[in-house]
Amino acid sequence: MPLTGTLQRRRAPKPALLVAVIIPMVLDVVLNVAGLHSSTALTRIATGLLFGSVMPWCIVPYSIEAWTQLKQQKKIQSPDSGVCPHV
Amino acid sequence: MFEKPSKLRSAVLGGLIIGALSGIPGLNLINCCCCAGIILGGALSVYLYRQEFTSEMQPMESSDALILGIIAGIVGALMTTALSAMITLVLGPVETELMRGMMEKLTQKLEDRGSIPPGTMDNMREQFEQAVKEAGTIDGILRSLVYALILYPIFSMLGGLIGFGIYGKKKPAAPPPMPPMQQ
Repeated sequence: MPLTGTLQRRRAPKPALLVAVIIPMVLDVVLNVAGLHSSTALTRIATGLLFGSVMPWCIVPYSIEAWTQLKQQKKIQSPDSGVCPHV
Repeated sequence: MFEKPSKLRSAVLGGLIIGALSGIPGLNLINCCCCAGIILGGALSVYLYRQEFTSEMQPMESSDALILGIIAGIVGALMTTALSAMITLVLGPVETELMRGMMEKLTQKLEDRGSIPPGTMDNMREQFEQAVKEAGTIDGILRSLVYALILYPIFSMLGGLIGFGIYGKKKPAAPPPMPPMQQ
């Protein structure tokens, strides 16, 4: 669950969950523009809260992982690292 | 295992999408939703890059998504500034006029309700006049380019990471079965 995990796990939520939290927010905007539903402050808070409670658990672990990978790649490529890049 | 495909094509395509979504007047209102157009462009560049992978290649990593997002954001910032400048030079400040119309309606409503102090409308009108004056100048274009070059890569990078989360990692190909032992 997104609210109970820790960032140390570096396990992002499943793709289906990410799509599921985006859909209500998009629907709220699209249906409001189409005139089929009126977007109120309450609906915006609810859909935004849902999106905002899950998304950091995707972005933060992946960005930590990505920066760590970039750091490691840089270390391997630097000539004085003593590590052969082809290993 | 083969090398990963080049990032340039997907990043430029993502940047072009960002440029189109953020540079065309009216369409760029999508960015009012927390820079959704820029995030979408970053995510799309990751999606396009992932399509280039075959089962023999090394799997895509989150660092690839991060770099793709940043490159797409830089290309998008350049595209948006160029497109906006061209539209402003050819058609005049269409975008600013569009925004002015919307903001005036909104501000009028808020003033009628008493949510904002009276006189806000006049201040806003002055600011728009200033923006219209600056829109076509080299100074104004360069200033918007600097802002875009700071903001777009950040949001596009977030889009890239979200895209990486949604499209998932491609599993590496299973090793080929061992040939039968000859006696």
